[in-house]
Amino acid sequence: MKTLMVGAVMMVMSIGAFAQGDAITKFFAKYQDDETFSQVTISSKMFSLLTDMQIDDPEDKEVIDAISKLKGLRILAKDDSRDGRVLYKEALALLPTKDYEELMSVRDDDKDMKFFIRSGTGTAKIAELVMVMGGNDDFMVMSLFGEIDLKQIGKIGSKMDIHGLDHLNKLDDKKKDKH
Amino acid sequence: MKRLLLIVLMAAAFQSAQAQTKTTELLDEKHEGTSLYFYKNTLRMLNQKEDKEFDDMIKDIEKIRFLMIDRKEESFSNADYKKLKEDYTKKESFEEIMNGRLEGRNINVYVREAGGKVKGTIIMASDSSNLYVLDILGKIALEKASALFKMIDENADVANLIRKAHID
Repeated sequence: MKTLMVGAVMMVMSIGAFAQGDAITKFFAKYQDDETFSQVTISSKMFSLLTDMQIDDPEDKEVIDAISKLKGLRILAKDDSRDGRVLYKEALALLPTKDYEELMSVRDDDKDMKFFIRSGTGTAKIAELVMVMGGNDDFMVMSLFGEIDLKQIGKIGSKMDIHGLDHLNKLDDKKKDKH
Repeated sequence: MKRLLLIVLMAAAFQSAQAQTKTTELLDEKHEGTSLYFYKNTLRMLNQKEDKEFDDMIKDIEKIRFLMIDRKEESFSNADYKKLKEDYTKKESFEEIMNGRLEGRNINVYVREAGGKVKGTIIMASDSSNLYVLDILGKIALEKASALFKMIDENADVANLIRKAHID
């Protein structure tokens, strides 16, 4: 029962999937039925339900407002795996450079992470954020799509307990350092 | 503690089982297993620490039904799990808001709305050993769902008592 709880908590707190780039969709399709992978898919409905939360803190309200504009989240991950780096390379090779722009690369201990964005149309300046992470013994690819506010993504990552997204806060820090 | 739990069990046993989804009803009828009811009052009773956050979490919940089925004993196949998910979405108008798999355990979350408000929530979890279904009449604040699982987990002796009663 304990593991059920932990699983449910992780998924509910981290929260179907819709309008992603083809490449990432194909990657998910290839591995989503492979039970050695963990996966989470969250629909826009889930995000809209989260916005029903009663929030008093103005900073939290900003995060909730950013969450309300998200349309979906998909995560595919593999822990305790020796092929983390192989999967990392495979995922990167599948991302078409004409559609995705590299935003940031991070090396954190034994893990490499790359963040990519796909431009949107209309009000959505960024339509999709993709994070690919590969290490000596784990791998994760995450696609977050909708109307994305990069300034809030790090905070959303903290709220949803998605490891890695906190690195995006560094983008904001770098901007501040320049001023 | 045990006494309180027994009171809770008795209170729950005398409540009617109406207004639950038909799919959950049929699942319970078809398979032997643990079946628990938590009503608003019984949920409040379980909140022995008078945790305000817990009270907030349950304020929009009318009733929770919790089922636990031993998949091997009941020959509950992956195809049965797939059909169960389809029954909730196609026969009961639930909408899937989340699905996932973690450490070999599948989890699916569905909601049903009426008039723009969530009227029902289903949280299903299944691994090779067991199937768990939380059928919630009303709405649970999703960001607080972890507290609900914690509550059920901490009160697992309720489930054990019932399971024992079933065996006896």
